[in-house]
Amino acid sequence: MRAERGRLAGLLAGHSWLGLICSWVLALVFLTGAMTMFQQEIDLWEKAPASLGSVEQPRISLDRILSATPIPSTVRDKRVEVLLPGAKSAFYHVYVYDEAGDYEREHAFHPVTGAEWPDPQQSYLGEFLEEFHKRLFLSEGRYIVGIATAVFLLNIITGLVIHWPKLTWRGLTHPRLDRPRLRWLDLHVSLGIFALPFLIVITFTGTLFSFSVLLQQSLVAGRLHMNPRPAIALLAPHPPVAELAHIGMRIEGTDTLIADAARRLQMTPTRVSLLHVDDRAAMMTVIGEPEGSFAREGRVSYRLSDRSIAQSRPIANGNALARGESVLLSLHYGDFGGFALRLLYFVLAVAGCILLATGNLHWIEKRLAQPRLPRGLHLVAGLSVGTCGGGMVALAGSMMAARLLPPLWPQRADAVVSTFVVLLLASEMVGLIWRRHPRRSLIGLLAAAGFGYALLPPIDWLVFGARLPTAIAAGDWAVPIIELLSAILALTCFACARWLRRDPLQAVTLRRTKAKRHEVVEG
Amino acid sequence: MNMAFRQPGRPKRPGEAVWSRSVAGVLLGGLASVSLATNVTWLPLPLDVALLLALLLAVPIWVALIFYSFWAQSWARAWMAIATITLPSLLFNLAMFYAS
Repeated sequence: MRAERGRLAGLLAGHSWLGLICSWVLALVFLTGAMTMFQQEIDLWEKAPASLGSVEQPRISLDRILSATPIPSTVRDKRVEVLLPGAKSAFYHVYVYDEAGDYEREHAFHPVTGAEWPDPQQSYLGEFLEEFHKRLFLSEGRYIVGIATAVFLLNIITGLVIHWPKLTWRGLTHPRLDRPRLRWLDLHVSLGIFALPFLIVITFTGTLFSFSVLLQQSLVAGRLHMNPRPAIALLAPHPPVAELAHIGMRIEGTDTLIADAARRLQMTPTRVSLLHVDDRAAMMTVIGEPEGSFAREGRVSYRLSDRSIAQSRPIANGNALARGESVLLSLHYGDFGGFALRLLYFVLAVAGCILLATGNLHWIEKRLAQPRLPRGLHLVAGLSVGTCGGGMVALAGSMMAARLLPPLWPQRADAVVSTFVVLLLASEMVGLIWRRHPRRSLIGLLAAAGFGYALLPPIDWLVFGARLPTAIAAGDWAVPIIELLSAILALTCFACARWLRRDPLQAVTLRRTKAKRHEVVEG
Repeated sequence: MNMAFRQPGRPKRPGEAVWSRSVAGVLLGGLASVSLATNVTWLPLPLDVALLLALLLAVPIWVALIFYSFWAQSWARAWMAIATITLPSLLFNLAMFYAS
């Protein structure tokens, strides 16, 4: 019995301390991850009004896009990678490389009109949120995210071991909101249990992705005698090799080949890769995924000179590692289902942020009940306020910047990223400077974020005018989806701020109630 | 053997040496999990299957070892147990590397 108590105490100490330390990173990772579920819609929303009405419309042919792509004559051996419009991309994204040099350019084209988007790298919000989610926008940040996610997975298990014997259906559905210490614990446990399958899937796959490169290299280093090439080739198979013929040839009929590959392997084409462009030895590989299944990949390579098939890799023939990784990727990003699944992932990820916040509040409440307040209590409260409120403010601010800054401004992407980073750091400063008044700081930050999110839909309708209802009537729902997400986030922020205003919660005022003081004195 | 490395008579505090347990679980446990998962890659399986199996095992082993470092009755017991797993698996990898 005593040993059991000691073990549980060890688990509880690990659960609360490791959870607290990692919560600040994880809250931001969950928030940006929630937005990443709708990366394509964010891309379309950011490019609106130019992108309005581009969904569900007949697309311009790839031949015309390729002929409109400017490639300097100095590029000797041209390689072109095309991201086709669809689930992975809003526009045609064309990447031009020189196999023999260091030339590299990205171009984007409207999928219906074919008009070139002047600087595709300036509409960057969706990509930035994904980068932040994966590696906190730091060069080696993936390992910080990986460790924090692994600790979160551990905390799910320790939380289950600690709370499982006490779980009741009534306890989960009726949190004791009137009991100062227990309300946070009840909310924390309820959110953790109801979101449990999602949290396990997300944290397991997330940890694996953060360490996958490091793990793959180290796991087979011995077996492959330090030569990583066979392992890399499993994930990135080489296209058929062909030597340059040095005889010019114009590329035509790519759309017919894309349709042929789609019919042959029963897949939806997502990418096209062209080698030795404008040469007689040109090769074209069509890569696609089957609809309605976990992300498996098929690819067909054609010789463009005689349109014969050079290599065909049917969807079922992928190697176990590539197929395993793509299944994990689909589970993590929820792209194996439709809109409803992605919205569920979004809501559960926001619930994950609230789970972390309630955990921190419970940590503070427990320390407030101790006879002597721990030294770092105000610091923890300040950092929690700065991260939870600051993440919301930073996201709202960057979305506002993405909507209001001119699309052709050359510093646009930098300004959007800077807005996010500056607002996040400023919020952390607010939390730390006014750490003795965390309730006031948190209400202020949440209200500011709520107003930011609430203003986005009216601004959209004001800027786009009649083009927005026309696009919606034509089946283009990208902008209304982002407005729906803004509305959900605005409501969450306002509801939390209102609750904090009406109910002077102990954990965010850092003041003990009189009764508790008496208890402490008497104790 | 006094596995807790405490002065005799000193009472054990609940959740003692959180930092020591964290280091044992996160760092040494990380090394142990990679080492154990690497053992799997020596099985006579195709490279893709062996690598996928090892990848899928590495994270759960790691999390289980961090869990054990907090579940153990003392931080010293956690260190001893994880080190006991790490050393033979590292040695097995080395032996297989030189034998292959």
